This record gives sequence, C-alpha cells and structure tokens, in this order.
Amino acid sequence: MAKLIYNITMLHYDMSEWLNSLRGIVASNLRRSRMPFPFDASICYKWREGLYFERSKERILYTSCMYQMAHVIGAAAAKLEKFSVADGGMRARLAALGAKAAGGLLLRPDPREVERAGGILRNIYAMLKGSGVTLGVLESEPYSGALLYELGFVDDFAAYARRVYESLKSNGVREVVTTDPHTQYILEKIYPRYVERFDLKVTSYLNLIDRSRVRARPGKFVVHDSCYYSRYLDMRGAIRGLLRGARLIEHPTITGKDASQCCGGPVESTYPGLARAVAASRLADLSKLSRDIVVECPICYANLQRANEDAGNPARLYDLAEVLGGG
Amino acid sequence: MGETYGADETLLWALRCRECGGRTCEAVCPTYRVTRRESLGPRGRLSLIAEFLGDDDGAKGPGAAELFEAAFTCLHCGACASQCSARIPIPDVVLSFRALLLRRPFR
Repeated sequence: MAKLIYNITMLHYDMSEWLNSLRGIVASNLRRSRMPFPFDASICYKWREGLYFERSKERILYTSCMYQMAHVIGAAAAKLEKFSVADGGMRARLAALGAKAAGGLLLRPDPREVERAGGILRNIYAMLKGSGVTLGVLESEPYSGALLYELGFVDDFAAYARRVYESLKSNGVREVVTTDPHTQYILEKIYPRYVERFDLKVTSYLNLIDRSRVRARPGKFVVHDSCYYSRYLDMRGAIRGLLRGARLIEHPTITGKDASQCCGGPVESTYPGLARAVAASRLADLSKLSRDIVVECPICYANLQRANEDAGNPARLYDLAEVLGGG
Repeated sequence: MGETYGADETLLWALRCRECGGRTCEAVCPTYRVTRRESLGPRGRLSLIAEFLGDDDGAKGPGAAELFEAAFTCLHCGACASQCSARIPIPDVVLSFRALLLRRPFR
C-alpha cells in the first residue's frame, strides 16, 4: 500500500510539475516573442518573400505561425518522449527541468519543413488571389494562444487573448482570414467568450476560395478531417466541395463526421507516447482506404507523418492546399 | 461546444452520464480504443469527475494520478459528444475540469 501511495503521489507530482513547466515555457515565450516556444520567429514570415499584400490591414491573412512551427512542436515532442512524463519518477522530473532549461534556448527548425510550410501558405495565397480576394498582413503576427486554452490554462489564455485582440484592433484589422483549424476555432468560437466586445469577422480561407477557380489534383484520396473543421465548425461539406474532381474514398466509421478519429496531436506535449499510439491507429485505418491521405491541419500532418515514418512510410500525406490548385 | 463551466455545472453535467449500455462514446474515443482503459474513455472520465467534485471532504475520491491522467489525455476531438444519448458536451466538461484542476490546490 505504501508503494502504491508513493507511486500515485510521484505521478501526480510529476504531471503537475510538468504542466507547470510547460505553462512557464509557453507563458514566458508569449510574453517575450508572442510565440509559444523558443524559435527564430523569422520562419513565420519567410513564405511572404516576393508576394504582394495590400497596405490596408482591414482584412488580413493570419497564419498564427501554425504551419511554420508545427514541425518544431513535433521535434520538441519527440525529445520529450525520451523522458516521457507518463513513465513517472525521476525521468519525468529531469524532463521538466530540461524543459525549463530549454525555455532559454532556440529550437532548430528543419529547413525542409520550413520550405514545405512556405509552399503550402503560398498555395493558399495564390488560391485566394485567384478567387479575387485581396489581403494585407501584419508585419509581426502574434500566436493565437490556442495551446494555452487546449491545455486548460484558461485564465492565462484569457489574458493573452485580450492582448492579441488589442494588437489586431490597433492595427485597424476588421476581418481575420485564417489558414488552419485551431486558429479558426479559437478565434471564431472561443475569443468572443473571453474578450469583451469582440467584433472581428473570422473567416477560414477555405470559405473564401471560389470553387470554380480551383481544381483538385486527380487521384484516389482518403481525407483525414480535422476534428475542429468537421465537428466544431461544420466545414466538412465545404472541404469535400473543393475536392470535387478527386476520387475520395469514404467509409462511415473511418471518415464519417461522427465516428472519424483524431490524429492524437492534442496530447503530443503532455502524453507523447499516447499521441503516437493514436496516430499509428489512425494511420492504419486511413491506409485501409488509400495510401494517399489528405490532411487539413499542420498538427495532424506532423503527428500522422511521424507515425508514417515509424511504419516505414507506407502512406503519402498531403496538405489540402497541396492537393488543390488553380483550375 | 466551446463552453467552459464552473465546478457546479461541471459536476451536474458529469452526473448526467447514465453509463448507458450502448457504450458508443467509448467505441469512438481514440484514447479508449488504443488503451482499452475505462478511465481513458468518456464514461470513465465523467465518472471520475463526478466522484471527485461530488466528494466534499476529499476523503474518498479518486487519486490525483488517475484524475490528472484522465483529464489531460482527452483529445477534445468531440467524437464522444456526437454519440452521447444524454447530450452531454463531454469535451467541454473535461476541459472545464482541467481548468478547475489547474486552479485548485491539490490534496
């Protein structure tokens, strides 16, 4: 009994210590650079080189740096897994201490992944431009704070969201065009609950693209829907409308709105081993329908691609914006 | 979905789980599917939340490790809510509980 109590106490101590460390890392980085993790923020803007944007900031394209940093989070999660907090004991405490130390260091992005993220964002820009949508951008773009909310640090999130909102308003922004589901959900559904007099229009780029001006790459695909787009924002039909022309393989329990599974990404910073197991299971299900998998979210891509590499790359993963193009 | 509840509302929602025989919420829960552990599925999470928040003096409730694991492994994917016959917004209840856990001095 004494051993059981000891183990429970230690595991709680480790988990709460880890969460406190994570909160400290995210909060201090948000204060310092308005990004959740320590990395060179210039990767957030590299994709814009050579592109034209309106001087007006009334309607902006807002990436929240999600595509650019998703693989950085993935790399950090892979390191964490070596010291899995779920194991409890000394290794978790070391991980927490290591993470505290890492808070002052820069995470190194993989240049190939930065280039790939840039290509996706340039495709999104091109599709919007081809649809007649004109946009500005902010010189310095703050992260939305989604991670704080998703981890349960609701008070920290609320204070940070107010800062982001003030920043957007002071730049004259009236409409935000998002490029990923986490940012769309957090701005559209959660900000209004925590930011008084929130009056920004929040629109996904997917809802601005003129369907008649884009064409899906021909091929047989299975779609891994983002939980936020599909179940929380009701965008599943709109996405399939954009993908008309491609052959989509559907199955009620694998790709259906109610039963389709998550990629595991939301727990990659707290339970990386579990995230990996969920991703492996999801990849196996999707691969039964097609080896060509379309994802809609950079976190889903990072998590499923890691599972794909673990399995010897049986599948090929594409972002939605890599499959769509000018028609 | 998208609500955050206080302690009383979180408890009331958790108590609405009738632990129905269909177990359809578990069938679609990714963490239950890969672990087969009830505490890492929607019913188990709601049961632990109800047990903890309904235990006034903290004497008989679940242990800290079990609670943290149950609360912080939820993916917030929403699949369970689409199956729930009692229409419980399970992901929001779990997220609200996370926020309560993080605010609360733990025994």
